[in-house]
Amino acid sequence: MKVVAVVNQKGGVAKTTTVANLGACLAERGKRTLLIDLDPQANLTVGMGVAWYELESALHTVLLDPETTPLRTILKPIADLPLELAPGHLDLAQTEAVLLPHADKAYRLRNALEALYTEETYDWVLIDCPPSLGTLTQNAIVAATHLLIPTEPKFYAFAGMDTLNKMIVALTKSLRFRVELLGVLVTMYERGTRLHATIAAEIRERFEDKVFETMIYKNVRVSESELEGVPIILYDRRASGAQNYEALAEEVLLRAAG
Amino acid sequence: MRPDKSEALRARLRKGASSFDFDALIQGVSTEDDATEAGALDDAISTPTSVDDEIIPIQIQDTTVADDGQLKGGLVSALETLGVRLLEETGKLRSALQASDASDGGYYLARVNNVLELLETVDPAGETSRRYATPAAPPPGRVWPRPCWSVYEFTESPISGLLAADADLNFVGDLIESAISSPDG
Ligand SMILES: Nc1ncnc2c1ncn2[C@@H]1O[C@H](COP(=O)(O)OP(=O)(O)OP(=O)(O)O)[C@@H](O)[C@H]1O
Ligand SMILES: [Mg+2]
Repeated sequence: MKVVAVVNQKGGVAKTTTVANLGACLAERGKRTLLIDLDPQANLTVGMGVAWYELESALHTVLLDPETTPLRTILKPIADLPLELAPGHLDLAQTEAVLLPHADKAYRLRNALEALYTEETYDWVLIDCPPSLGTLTQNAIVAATHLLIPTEPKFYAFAGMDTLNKMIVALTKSLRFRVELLGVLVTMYERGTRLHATIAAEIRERFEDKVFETMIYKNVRVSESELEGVPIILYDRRASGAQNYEALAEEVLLRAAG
Repeated sequence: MRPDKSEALRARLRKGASSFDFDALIQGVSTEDDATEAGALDDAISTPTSVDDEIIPIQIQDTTVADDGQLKGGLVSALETLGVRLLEETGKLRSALQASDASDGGYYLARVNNVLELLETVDPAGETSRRYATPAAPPPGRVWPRPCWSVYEFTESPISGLLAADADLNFVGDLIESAISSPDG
């Protein structure tokens, strides 16, 4: 089982889109997949067609009180696939603040997942992080075996990953965890934009084979599918966005096997 | 983009990227077998081995009932932590602004904004902060300053009171640009 935290503190770099679509692609290939929405914006939850505001319990209740609400009890099946979602909720913002004074605040998700693994087995668990490096993202990193970093081909990409690197180093001082990089994913790539080509090449130069060969091109069908509440691969399979994520899934499976 | 411009960009990127460090990311990290570094927290957190151990009882019952005593405890100490952070980051922002350093100023402005965003989510009207006199609680009749991510928001915000006397609109523009492109922003 691989547990992948999809992380980047920069907003709008396609973390949520990547979790939704990579998850759906893996499930379509018969892999049992669990998606976890750790973002108080709950975009993944909405993007999967689940109304978080109607839920009595969601991830925030699990993180606050796993005894009363084990993770298993909040899971929602998605489409007709071996795909499940642990829905997020706006109250996760409050949870972050409430957890702050607790010594085990960064271990809540990992503990909840380990309890779940005693009953269920998954091939892949994908965690959608909020655009911050706060307690929720720390929970994701501690629970993860791997990191996937989506990034736009922009100037700030390097500074952003440098900050993430610093944070991981800082976490090693106080937390027990083990994590490795599954890959850096270039997203929102615009064909014919010299700037994008240049920056993507530099990212490759620095991260070498840790950068996925697959890049996700900017494609309006992706945002349309989000509004419809389904992953692009279930909305318009022929769209370039869908094909990019299919290719990414193949590459991810190869990496996992290799 | 003209080729010479593209070359200049590449050079700039290279220079920037070479000063950045991605080693922990690229190589991966593990503290799981590490007895010394992460050992300090062992008392607080035991690595779970059985289901019973995995479930750590939580004091908080219901996050939506603001009068619940234990939640209040958690919320108040979170507000205290955030209040202290707000004061610290505002202090650093003020120093950078007084030194007319738009780049550092933007960095700290982004951090101030982030703390304000969090405060606004957990205590929107600042009431709980006021009631428990947490650090930096807004005075009676006032709410938290709005986070500022644009020149307009900044000039309208009380935070602009931290600017150096000779700061002009160009400086504010640079400040906001730096805040937006800050890794914390
Ligand atoms: N390949 C793409 N082409 C066009 N639009 C895209 C693409 N990928 C994502 N988007 C759109 O960009 C926006 C941001 O994407 P997404 O929500 O996945 O980013 P995020 O990193 O999760 O953001 P946040 O940090 O706010 O959680 C969304 O509206 C999404 O539909
Ligand atoms: Mg998101």
